[in-house]
Amino acid sequence: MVDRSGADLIRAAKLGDGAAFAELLRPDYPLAFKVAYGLLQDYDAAEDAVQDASLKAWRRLGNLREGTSMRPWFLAIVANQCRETRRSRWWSVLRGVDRLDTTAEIPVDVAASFDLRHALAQLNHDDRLVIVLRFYLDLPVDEVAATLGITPQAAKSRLHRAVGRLRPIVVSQEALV
Amino acid sequence: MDDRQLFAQFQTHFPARPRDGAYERLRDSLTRAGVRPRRTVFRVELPEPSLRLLATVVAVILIALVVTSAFISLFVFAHRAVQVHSPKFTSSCTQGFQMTDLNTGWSGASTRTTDGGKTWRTLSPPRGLGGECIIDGQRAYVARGTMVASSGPVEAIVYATDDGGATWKELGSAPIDNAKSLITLEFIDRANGWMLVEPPRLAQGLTRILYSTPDGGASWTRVSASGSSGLEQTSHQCGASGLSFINPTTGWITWECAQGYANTGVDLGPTAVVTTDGGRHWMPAILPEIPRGGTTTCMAGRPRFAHQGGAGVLPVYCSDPKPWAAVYRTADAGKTWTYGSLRDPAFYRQVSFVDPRAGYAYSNDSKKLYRTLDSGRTWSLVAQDVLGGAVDQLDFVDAQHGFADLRDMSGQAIWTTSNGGRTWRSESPQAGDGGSSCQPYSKPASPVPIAAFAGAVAWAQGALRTTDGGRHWTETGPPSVANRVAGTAEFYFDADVAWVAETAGSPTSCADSVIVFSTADGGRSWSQAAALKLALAKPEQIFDSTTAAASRQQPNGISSETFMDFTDLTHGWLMVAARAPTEPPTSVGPIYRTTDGGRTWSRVSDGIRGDANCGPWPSMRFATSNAGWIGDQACGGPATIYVTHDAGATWASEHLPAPFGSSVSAPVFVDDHYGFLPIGDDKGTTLISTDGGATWSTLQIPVPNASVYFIDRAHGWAVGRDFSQGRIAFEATADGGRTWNVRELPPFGFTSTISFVFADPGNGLASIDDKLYRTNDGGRTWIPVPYQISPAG
Repeated sequence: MVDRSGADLIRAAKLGDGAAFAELLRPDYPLAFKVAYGLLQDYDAAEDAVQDASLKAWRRLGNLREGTSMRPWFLAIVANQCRETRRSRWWSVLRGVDRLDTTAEIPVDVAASFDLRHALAQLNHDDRLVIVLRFYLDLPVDEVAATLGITPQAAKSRLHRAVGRLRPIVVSQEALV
Repeated sequence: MDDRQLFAQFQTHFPARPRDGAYERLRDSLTRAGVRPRRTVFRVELPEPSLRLLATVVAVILIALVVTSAFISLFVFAHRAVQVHSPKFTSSCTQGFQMTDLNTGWSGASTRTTDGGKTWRTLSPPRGLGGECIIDGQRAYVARGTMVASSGPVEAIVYATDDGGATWKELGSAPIDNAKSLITLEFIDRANGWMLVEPPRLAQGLTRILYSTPDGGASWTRVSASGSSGLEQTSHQCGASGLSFINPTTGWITWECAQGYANTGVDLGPTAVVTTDGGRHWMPAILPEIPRGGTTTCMAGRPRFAHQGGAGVLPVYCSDPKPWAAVYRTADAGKTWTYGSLRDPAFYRQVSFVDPRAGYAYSNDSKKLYRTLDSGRTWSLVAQDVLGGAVDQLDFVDAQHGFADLRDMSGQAIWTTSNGGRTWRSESPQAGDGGSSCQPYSKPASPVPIAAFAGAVAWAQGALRTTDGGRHWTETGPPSVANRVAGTAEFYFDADVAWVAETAGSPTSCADSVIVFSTADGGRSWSQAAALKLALAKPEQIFDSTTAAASRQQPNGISSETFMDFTDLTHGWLMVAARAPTEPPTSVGPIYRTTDGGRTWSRVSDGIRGDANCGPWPSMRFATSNAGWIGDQACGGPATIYVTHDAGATWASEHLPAPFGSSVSAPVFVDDHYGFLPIGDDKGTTLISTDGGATWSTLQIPVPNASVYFIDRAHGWAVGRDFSQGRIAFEATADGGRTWNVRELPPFGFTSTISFVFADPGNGLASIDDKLYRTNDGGRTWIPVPYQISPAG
């Protein structure tokens, strides 16, 4: 096995070496998947979204400025891909699957998970994204900001707004039982 | 729930790892894909510096000529009358957002507009997963996969409406393998229909089945199934995007493969298949020039055909290695197809043909709208940057009148054009910065009781009123104000007296004003107060829409956010809770007050502003004409609440004897002195005051995460979800909370939305999802109440 440096991998990926680009993505793949799962709440769709985003990222690799961290850049592409996925007809068809599942007998932890997912689904894309990055991925605020392309202060503000919108939904779901 | 709890919930309840082999699958697909990243820098080297000036001058002249000619062409084209030559399309099923005429439209089978998209009404088609089919403004079908009995057979049941979704009638059913099957419907007239049932995605080994009906859906016969009929030629990873027949024998199925499967390298089969024997056998449709092989994945939209003459169009999109889109046209009812470029692949999802010749296409990438008058042979630019957001669906009713659905997770906005797309306007008010759509007001689809009174009278959300215990409900509410948007507050004082506050937007604001209506005769007549101009900070944003209905007795039943409160027939308050992107989160205000029963309102306070991190909880209650409370978020600190003793003019923060970190809403008082404040923790902590809120003591209710509901000092109910036990607890007290007894609830799903009200210790109503129940023994037993909702008058 030959260990290639990051610069070598980027150079090779820019020349069309898919294995090199995959190697570049390897450390961030679990996080990217979690972003996609948090936004789409569907394993298959999340895997698909990351795959599509990876292809887009590869095509746009020339846009990545030298010295810029790859992770926020890639996560932003994944987030955009998830937004596109939610717009597609397939997604609108499949969204109903979750709804149907709610009528079944649900163990308590699954039900709690459903509550959280349901609450999250009621947020708009931007709110959902910032919540996922911070609470689900446990990213520091600086990295959340870099992924969102905004300042850390603005990221904090957006996070508070998103939590402010999520919390009443979660709480009201608890209250509404 | 503080941020740490939220974090813990995410970590506990969300799966954390991708499935085994997911990364390896990605690596394999990347290795096969052969992408070459685009270069982003292009540079033209001129040999001599002296030539640069000359080159610049030439370039400027050329650009000017091109721009001028393009402008002239655009101007001439845009002002040319559109000639519609072709007959309209056949009137078979459509799905999703669809306007059936200039006023009436559907967004699926669950919402419908009759005023051109200004307002949308939520409908109640039978629940479940399945297919939908919109025929016209009144008629629609839905099919639902349903398990007939627990562990029993599974059926697809077909329902129809002939009254715009007000009522649904079961027609017939067909057996299916799985309740989660994907179902696509098609009807070409009142008699002949088809139903394609596909296994859930990735469910391998199940059969794709086509049924047909000759009697309008009453009986369904299996026509064909994957195996030997041609239905199996498409991969299980693809699903039908359309099932389209032009007569009882000839039809098409178009396939759409989900994005992401482009890289499997598997031949996914034809993009469209055709039958000429009513669906028994299917053959690939021949589509010239369509990319095939390798890692290409294609998807096709539903073909559409003219009533007569056999003209039709079929949009196709292929991805990977390079996006590609086309509109195929036919003049012989689909026997042969001719390729036509769609100009920009980004058009594919937003293409709308008025007839087989005239069509429009919009690209969310370039924000350009194009038009074709020759079935897609040529496309001409109509306009650019004329829509205030990303278009989800484009739908032209005729060559001049079109609708664009800009729906996103944050809401829906319908934009319309009446001049062939040259200019557009929003039918729902937009935020000042044009970046967000306002959330329109929508009527409740089923009665959610808010207040019950003696004599079997009750009010439900949306000013629905019943006088027979819930069997018949009348829409008694005041007329909607112009440009009404979400942001409604309702208060029901007794069987006859009620107030409803409506929010109106404007072309530049989502929350321009609030108008309060009042009735003293059970909604037969309403008086309107002068509009309260909000003048929110720019850029104005979406008015906080969850100002749910509440009565004086209703604690947290619908929502903890209560924005209107009356202590008697004359004294009332209205709190506005708006949000703007530039404002700190969770500020509330302004606050208005009336002392004449809502005829006039005056602004008594600007409200309470939070800081960058925390702020008040949007919930307001009054116990007397002077004493009131607004909830507060603890945000990791001690539990506090805002109090006023001067009728809302000034507010001060006070500590509460509640657990550290508890966020609280406003307390509910059953009279001037006696009030309850549920904390909503897992110990069932509830604060109780017997001195008008001057002091609070702690009451432990044996119901975790409790919502409490008292109708007087003695009689109350508590309901809450016990996450540790996986159960929902419902108990009642007849001694002010000292002792509690277990009560029953009607059947519910664990995630159901439950709301209940009581008129007295015995009689109550409960709504669970869209069902209604009644009790006359204080909640020991419940019986279902079949109900009807009628318009006023």
